Amino acid sequence: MDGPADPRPRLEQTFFADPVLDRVLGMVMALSAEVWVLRERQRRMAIALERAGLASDATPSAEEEAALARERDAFTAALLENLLGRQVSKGAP
Amino acid sequence: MVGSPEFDAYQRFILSAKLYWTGPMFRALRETYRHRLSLAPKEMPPGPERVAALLAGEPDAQIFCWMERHLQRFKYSGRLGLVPAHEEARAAIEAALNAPLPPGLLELDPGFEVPRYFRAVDIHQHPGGIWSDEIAGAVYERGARSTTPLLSKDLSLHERFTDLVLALRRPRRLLDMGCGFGKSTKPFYERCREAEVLGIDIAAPCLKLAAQDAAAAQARNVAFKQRSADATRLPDGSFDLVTSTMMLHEMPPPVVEGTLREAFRLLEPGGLMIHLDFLPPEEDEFLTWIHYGHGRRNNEPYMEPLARMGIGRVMEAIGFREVRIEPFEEMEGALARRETHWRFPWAVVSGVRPAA
Ligand SMILES: C[S@@+](CC[C@H](N)C(=O)[O-])C[C@H]1O[C@@H](n2cnc3c(N)ncnc32)[C@H](O)[C@@H]1O
Repeated sequence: MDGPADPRPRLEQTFFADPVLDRVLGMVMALSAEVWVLRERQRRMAIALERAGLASDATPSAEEEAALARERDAFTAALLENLLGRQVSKGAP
Repeated sequence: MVGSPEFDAYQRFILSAKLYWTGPMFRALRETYRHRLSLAPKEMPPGPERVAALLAGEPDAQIFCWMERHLQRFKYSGRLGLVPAHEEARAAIEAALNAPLPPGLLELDPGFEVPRYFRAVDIHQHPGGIWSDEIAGAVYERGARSTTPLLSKDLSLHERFTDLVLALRRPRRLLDMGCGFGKSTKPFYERCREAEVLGIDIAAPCLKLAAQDAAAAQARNVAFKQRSADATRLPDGSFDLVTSTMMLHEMPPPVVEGTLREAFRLLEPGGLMIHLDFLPPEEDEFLTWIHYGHGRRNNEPYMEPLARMGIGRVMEAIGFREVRIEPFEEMEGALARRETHWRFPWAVVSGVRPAA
């Protein structure tokens, strides 16, 4: 605790051999979150438009909500399964 | 802004990612651990240190740990994180928190000094902690709805704990230590209308919310006070039941011990003390390693010391009898899913102050 204090804000914890990876993965996740926000917004608008042109009742039905939740989880899985690093079709190691 | 379609979409995405981390990423890591263990020299002594050695440099472990830390950071601090989203609603939240209350419902201590151990880290990655900002209690309330990613209705764990406690004891006078914004206190004051319930906490922003919530529920049998659990300044023997939920792991061991002593003093002879907290299963080195690391990654530095302090022995030394430490199922079938899903190692710690 003693000694000259580091004037920088505390540096973020690191988990990878190269700390740059820690930071870049953060950026990838931030972008992914933004993509999902846009996609969900767009789906909800489409639902509203499809229902009655410019009808103000944009609340999706329970089934539409459930479909959106499934879509969200599929989006997340497609994004994050890359991080599992498992072969999807068996090949050379 | 909280409640905007963008905010909701963002938070749902983070939760969805947390669920992926809880399931497939957890399973991948366990699989890698098992494989590494099968190759390990037999003389390596078991324990979390062995798991750390086996998984050092493993991409599965690095990714799992990164996700654990950063998904929580995104939840609180990202563009649509809880803290910035609540900032935009600050004025309305403050007005609601400062609405007049029935007399006696809330007692804050303007001179209260929040202990150093609580100021030193921002607990569960909530910037500024849950004590320093007027609206921190409201932010925490929203955040706590998804503390346990597998539980869609997080309240059910408090209801389940209340069921368990009330099956052991119908209290007349109950003290809920570390009551936060009252989520653990509410099922008791709602279900034991005949009992007097007191919630104490050190975080004023949470106590304010607890009191407003109780006022809205028109509860007449509860009060909230700003007191530390290890120094309550309440009279000896004034309760027949002392509870806490998720408080002990936020305290360093000397404060835990002081709190247990205080509970002993506050209980009448025959009274019951019962805490719901986290203690990893000793026989599972992998889950123990996960839990200790969770404490570090999620800014909960006393999780590991709590698990290591031998709380049962400390309780016996203080004088508690019928000391029990038992796993707790926060939802139906949770213990059976231990192999395949990350979860907190919920545990119930209880003891009785002997009758004279
Ligand atoms: C994780 S929260 C749980 C709150 C509540 N029991 C619930 O279940 O929602 C832990 C609480 O313990 C409180 N706490 C920490 N140290 C304390 C102390 N020394 N005395 C009283 N409360 C304390 C914190 O302020 C926080 O509100």
